[in-house]
Amino acid sequence: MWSYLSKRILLSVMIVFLAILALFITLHSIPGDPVSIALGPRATPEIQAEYAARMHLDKPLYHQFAIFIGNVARGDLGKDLFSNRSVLLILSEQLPFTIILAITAIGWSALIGIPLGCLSAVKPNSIVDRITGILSVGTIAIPSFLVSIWAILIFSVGLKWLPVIGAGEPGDIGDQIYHLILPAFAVGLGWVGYLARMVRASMLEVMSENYIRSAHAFGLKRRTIIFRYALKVAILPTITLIGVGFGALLSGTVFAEIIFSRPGIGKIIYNMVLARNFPVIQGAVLITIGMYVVVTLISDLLVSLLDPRVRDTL
Amino acid sequence: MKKIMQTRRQVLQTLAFTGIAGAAVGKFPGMAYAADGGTLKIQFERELDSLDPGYFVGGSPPNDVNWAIMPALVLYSRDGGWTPSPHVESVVARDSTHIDFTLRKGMMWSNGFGEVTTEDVAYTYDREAVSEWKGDFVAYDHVEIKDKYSGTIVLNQPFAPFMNTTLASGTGIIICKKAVEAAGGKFTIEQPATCGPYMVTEYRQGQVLKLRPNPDWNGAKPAYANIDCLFVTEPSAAALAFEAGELDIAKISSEAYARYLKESPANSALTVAGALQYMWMGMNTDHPKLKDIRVRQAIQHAVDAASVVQGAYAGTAEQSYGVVCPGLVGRREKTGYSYDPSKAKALLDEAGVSGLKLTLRTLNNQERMLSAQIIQANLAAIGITVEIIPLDSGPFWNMGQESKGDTWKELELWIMRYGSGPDPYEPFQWFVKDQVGVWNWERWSSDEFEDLFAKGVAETDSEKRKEIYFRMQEIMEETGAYVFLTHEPEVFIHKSSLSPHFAPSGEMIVGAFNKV
Amino acid sequence: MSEIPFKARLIRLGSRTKKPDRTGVPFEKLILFSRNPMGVFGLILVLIVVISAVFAPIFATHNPFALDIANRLAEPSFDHFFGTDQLGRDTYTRVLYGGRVALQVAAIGVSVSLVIGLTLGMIAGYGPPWLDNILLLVFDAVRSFPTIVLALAAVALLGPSLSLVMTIVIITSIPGYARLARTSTLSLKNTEFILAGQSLGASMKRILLIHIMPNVIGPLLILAAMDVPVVVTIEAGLSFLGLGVQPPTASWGTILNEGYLIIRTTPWIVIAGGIPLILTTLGFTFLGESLRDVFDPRLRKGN
Repeated sequence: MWSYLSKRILLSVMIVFLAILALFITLHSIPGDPVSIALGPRATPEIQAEYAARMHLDKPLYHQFAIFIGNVARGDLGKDLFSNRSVLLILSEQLPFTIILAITAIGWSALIGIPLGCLSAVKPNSIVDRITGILSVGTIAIPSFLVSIWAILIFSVGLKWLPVIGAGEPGDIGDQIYHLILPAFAVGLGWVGYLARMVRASMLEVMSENYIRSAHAFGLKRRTIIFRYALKVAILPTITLIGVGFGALLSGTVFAEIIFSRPGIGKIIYNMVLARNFPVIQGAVLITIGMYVVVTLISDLLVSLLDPRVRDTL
Repeated sequence: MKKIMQTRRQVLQTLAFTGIAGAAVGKFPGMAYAADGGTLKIQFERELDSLDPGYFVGGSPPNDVNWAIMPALVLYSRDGGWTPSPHVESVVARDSTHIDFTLRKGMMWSNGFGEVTTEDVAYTYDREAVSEWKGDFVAYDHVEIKDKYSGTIVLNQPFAPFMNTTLASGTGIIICKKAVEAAGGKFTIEQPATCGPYMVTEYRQGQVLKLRPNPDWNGAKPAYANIDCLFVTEPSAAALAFEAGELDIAKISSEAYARYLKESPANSALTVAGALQYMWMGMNTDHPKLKDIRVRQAIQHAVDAASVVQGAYAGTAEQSYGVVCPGLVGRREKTGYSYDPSKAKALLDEAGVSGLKLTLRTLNNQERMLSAQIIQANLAAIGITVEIIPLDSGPFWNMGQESKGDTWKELELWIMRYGSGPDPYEPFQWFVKDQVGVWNWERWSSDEFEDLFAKGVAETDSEKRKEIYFRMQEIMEETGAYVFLTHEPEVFIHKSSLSPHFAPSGEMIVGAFNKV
Repeated sequence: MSEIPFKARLIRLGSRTKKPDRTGVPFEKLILFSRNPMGVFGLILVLIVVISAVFAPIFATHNPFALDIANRLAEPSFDHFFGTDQLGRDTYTRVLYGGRVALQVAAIGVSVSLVIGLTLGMIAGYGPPWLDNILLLVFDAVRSFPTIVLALAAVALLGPSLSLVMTIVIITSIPGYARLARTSTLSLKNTEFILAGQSLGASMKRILLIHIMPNVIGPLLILAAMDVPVVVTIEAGLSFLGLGVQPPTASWGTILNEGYLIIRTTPWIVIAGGIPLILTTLGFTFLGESLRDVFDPRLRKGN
C-alpha cells in the first residue's frame, strides 16, 4: 500500500514539475524581451528591474529555471503588479470559493446522478431508463454558460428567488449557501446526466459478470446484490472520472464565476487577463495545475483503497 | 416589493431548517431596504488597483473611495462646478495664480497620525507634481504655509481651471505626510492614514469594499451611514442585480438605457452623469500609414457618425461635431466634413493608396465595440481593412503615453473619450503642443491653436469666445486626425429614494448622496 | 459537453477495444445503427448542422456583414427569421456563418489532434517501455493544464484570435487520443498476427501503419465524434468571453455574447445563438454514443 502511495505521489510531483517546465519553456520561447513577456506591458521600470534581478536573467536558462522552481516551492509566486500584494495571498483568498463551488456541483450531481444511473441499470429499457437516457444526454449537451444565463433570467430576475451576484456574507453560512445554489446548479447540471450514464453502463457490465449470476443462484436478494457487490465495483470508474473530469469542471466554474460575479480562481484569472496583470495569471496557472494534480491523486488513491487490483497496474 | 417579501417568507416557512432560515432572513436581497437607512449597495465596475493619487489609474474606483475617506480642498458640485469640501472652512481663488484655503480645525488622521494640517497639503501637492500625474500639476508651483491650518496654493502661471481639473478631481485629494513617509513614501490599496466621513472597514478583493462611518469624523454626517461597494464588472450582471434588488445603483449600457426609458422597474430612476463627455476616433499623424493628410481626410468622409449614434448607442447619445459639449459656448452644429464615401474613395485614390490595413484600438465595452464595428464596416466600404483591438481600461489609458511604453508609436486608429468641465475651454487643454505624448495622442501642434487657447482662457465676451472655440475645433478637424462621434453619457439606474452625486467624469461622490 | 471530458470517456472505450468482429451479416453494423433511434436522430442533426454550415451562402438570406442600422433589433419576421442585432445584421445569416466557424474549429481541431494523438499513442504502445513511460508522463502533464485557464493565459500573452483557440484545443485534446491509441496498441501488440508480421521481418513503420493503425483507429473516430461537442463548446465559450473569434466574424459564442448583453431587450439573439450550439452538441453526442453502442456490443443496453 505504501509503495503504491509513494509511487503515486512521486508521479504527481513529476507531473507538476513537467508542467511547470513546459510553462517556463513556453514563456521563454515567445519572441521578445522576457521581462515584458513575463510581466506584461503595464509593469513600471522599477518592477521590471526588480523582476530581472530576482530572476537572475543574466544566468543561463537552466539556472533560471532552478530559481523559478525554487521560488515556487517556497511559495513565492511573485507580486501583483499594482497592489504589490503577494500573488499567493491573492490566489489563496480566491481559491476556497472555487473549490466550494466545484465540490457542491459535483456533490449534488452525484447525489442525483448516481442513483439515477443505478435505477436505469436495474430496470433496463424501462420508461425510467429511456427518459433518464434522453435527459442525460440533453443536459450534457447544453453548455454551462448558457444554463447560467437562463437560470439567472428565470430564477433571479423573473421569480426573484435567488440572487444574481456575489458569494454572500462571509461567516453567514445561510447566505453563502443561498448564493451557491444557482451557480452550483449551472455547473453541475451536465454532470448529472454524465454520471448517470457512467454508472448505468458500469453497473450493467458488472451485473452481467459471472459472480453476480452466481450470487443470484445462491439466492441472495436482489437488493443485497446491487448494493453490496455491484455498486461498489461500478462506482470505481466513476471516481476516476470525477478526478479526471475535475479539470473540465474548472472550465464550468470559470464561466459561472464570471457570469455570477462570484469570487474565485476563474474570475480573478479573467480579470487579470483583461488588466494584463501577468504575475497573477502565471501564478493562477500554476495553482490550477497543482489543484488538478492533487485531485487526480486523491481520486486515484481512493480507487486504490477500494479496489486492490488497480494498484498493480501502475 | 412587499409582494415579493411575502413570497419569500412563505418559502422560508416551508423550510424546516429554522436555523438557516433565521440566519438568512436579514440577508435576502430585496428584503433589506438598503436605501432606507440600512446599507447602501453601490457598484464598482473595475478592480481596485491603487489608492495612491500619484500613481493610480484613476477613474471609478479609486476616486470614489478616496473622496469618501480622504480630505480634499474642493469637491465637484452638482452643477459641474466646484464647491468647498467638508474638510475646509474656506477656499478662495484670490486671483488667477493664488488660491487661499483654511482647513477646519481638529480633523484627525486615523492610526494616530495627528491632525490634518497645511503641511499635509504642501507635502501632497509637492509629491503630486513629480508623480505619474504631474501632467495635472504643470501650473502648480508650491504651497505657501501661513499657519497650521491655512495656506495658499501658488501657481506659476495663470490657470483658472486649476480648481476644477486638478483640485476637485481625484488627483486633488490630500494624503497624510507623516503616515506616507512612515510607509516608505509609496502605498497601494490601503491609505496609510485616512480622514473623512467614512473609513474602509473591509476590503475583499473582487468582492466588496465596505465603507462605514468614521467615529473620529467631526464634520457633517453624510446621508448614508453604511455603504457596501460591490465589485461587479459585467454591465449586464449589474443591471440584472439592480432589477433583482441586490444593488441600489448600477451603471447601465446604452441599450439598457433605451429600454428603461420606455419602461423602468418600479421605484427606480435614471440619472445621466458625465454628460460633458466627447468621443471621437483619433488618428496618429506620425504613423507612416496615416502621414498623408488625404488618407486621414478620406477616413473622415467615410465614417457615418449618425449610424454610430443609432447603432451603438441606441439613439441615446448626442452626435458630436467637435469637442465642446452641448449647452456650452462654442458648441458646433456640424462638421466641415460630411459622410461621403465616394469622396473618401476619391481622396484615397488621389493619395495613391489601396488595400490599406489599419488597427483600431478601443475599450472593450459594448458601446465602443459596436462603434468600432460600424467604423470597420464604413471603412471596408472604401477599401480599408480594419482590425479591431479591444483593450481593458488599464492598457487602454496607457496607449498613447510616451512614458508608459511604446504603444504610442504603433497607434493607428483608436476610439477615445475625454470628459470635460462646465467651461468650454477645458477640452482643448489636452490638445496643445505640450500634451503631445501625454494626452495629445494624435501628435500634432499648431501655433494658431496655442495662441487661441491662451486668448480663450482670458476672454470674457461670449461671442468672441464662441468664435475662438469654433476656430479651434476647425483647426483640429483640419488636421484630419479627428472623426467626431458622440457625446457619450454615463447612465445610472438607481432607487428613486436615492439622489446620487457624480463627478463630471462619472465617478460617484458618495459623501454627497442624498435621500429623497 | 462543455465540462464533460471526452478524455474520461476513453476510460470506458480503452478498456474494451478489440478487433472488430468480421463474421456475421454484411452491413450488420449499419442495420444495428439504424435500429437505434437516438443514433439516427443524432445523425440527422449532424447532417443539418454540417449542410447548413457548408452551404451557408445558399441558405443565407442576407450578407452576414451588411449593417442596416435603421432596422436594428427587429423582431423575427419573414425577412429576418431571427430578427436583427444591434447593427441591423441578420441574425439567422450570422448563425449560419457561425456554423462555419464552429465546424472549422471542430474539423481542424479534432483531425489534427487525432492524427498527432494516434501517432504518439501508437509509438508509446508499440515502442520500448522507457519511451512509453516518458510519453505517459508528458500526456498526464499536458492533461493537467485545464483548457480554459490555459486559453486565458495564452490570450493574455498573445492576444485573442481564432488560431490561438484552435492551437490550445489541439494541445489539450491530444493526450486523450494518445492514451486511447496507446491502450489499443498495447492490447494488439502481442496478438498473433502482429507477432507473425514481426517474425516475417516487417519494419516497425510498416507494422504500425498497415496492421495496427486500422484496428486502432476505430475507437479514436468514435472519440472524435464525441470530442466535437467539446471543441465547439470551448470555442463558443471563449468567444462568449470575448477572447476568441474577433469581429466582424460571427461565431455562435460572439452572437451569444452580444445577445446576453441585451438579453432584457430581446431574447431572440440568445435563443438564435444557443440553439445551433445545442443541436450540434446533441447531434454529435447522440451519434457518437450510438456508434459506440454499435461497435462495442458489450455496452449495448440490456443484459
